[in-house]
Amino acid sequence: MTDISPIGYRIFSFLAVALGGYLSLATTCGSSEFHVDVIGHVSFGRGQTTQSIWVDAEGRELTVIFEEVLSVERDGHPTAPTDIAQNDFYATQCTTSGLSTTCTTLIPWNAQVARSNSAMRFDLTRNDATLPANVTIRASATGGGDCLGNAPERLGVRLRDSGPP
Amino acid sequence: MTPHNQDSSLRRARAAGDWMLHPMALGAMATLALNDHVLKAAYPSWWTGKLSDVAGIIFFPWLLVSFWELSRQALRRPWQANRVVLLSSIALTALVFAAVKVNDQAGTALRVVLVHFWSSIATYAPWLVPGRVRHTVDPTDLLVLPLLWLPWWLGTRRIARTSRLIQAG
Repeated sequence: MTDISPIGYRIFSFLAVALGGYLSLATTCGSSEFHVDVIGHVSFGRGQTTQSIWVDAEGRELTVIFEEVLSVERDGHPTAPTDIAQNDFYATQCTTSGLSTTCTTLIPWNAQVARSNSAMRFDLTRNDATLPANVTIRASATGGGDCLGNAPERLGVRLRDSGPP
Repeated sequence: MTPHNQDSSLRRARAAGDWMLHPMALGAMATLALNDHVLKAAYPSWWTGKLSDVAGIIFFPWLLVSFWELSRQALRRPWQANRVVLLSSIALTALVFAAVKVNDQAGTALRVVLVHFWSSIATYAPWLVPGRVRHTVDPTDLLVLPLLWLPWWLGTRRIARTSRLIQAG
């Protein structure tokens, strides 16, 4: 092993300490996770049993939990959310890899899904399709922030009812 | 050991903060950097979650010892770390690690401090601010705490060897 000068050795020591400090400060940035509620609206047409809802994760690793059905409108008339029980819906998570798409049915409704895709698709299926319906659901997204304190909601995590951007 | 090697070893032992040049510390830092910035994104899983904890818990006590030595040297005081300094660093590491991993409020408090720190850095050198690094409050991470034995064991050997070299010199 080639010997190095005392000055060089001191410089390397100092640099190693600085690197260790930097890594330690960087790795603890997300030691507390952010947790935000996101609201999504799903519209079903007459006779339509399945509708997709998307979660924009924008590359971040998120855990999404569908919490509850907030409101249901059938044919323009408010209906008690309990009229469409959560068990009436099946949420399906689909992951696209190359040309193939794999879908997993999430039962129960509030199954946890952690993905780092740019967008996650969840297919909601209803059993009673006699009337058009607008359903408002509440989901929660949990993920780490960044080192500048940006929470997922400020980073664009949201639910939407159209396809990927 | 030849006189030249002994002199070289002694000189090295006398560089404040050179704990972080030990292969164990360098290896742990490389592992932490690789895991946080590459592996966690490519292979998000249980083991990548634990790997950073393992790497961090191994080198962080020695980082504290190094800071102690550099501070003492800046104050022109005797700075060679002894067993008390090493043990204090290990105890502080265990305490902070456990608090952050078990208590949400401790984790939040730490995050607030770090956000202020990195926001200040971003004003002058935004390129230094790291990307998002995911950490979770997970009590099972405490399983890595027994690994603190490694920096203690190697650290006490290092302190003993340094003392012998100084006495011999």
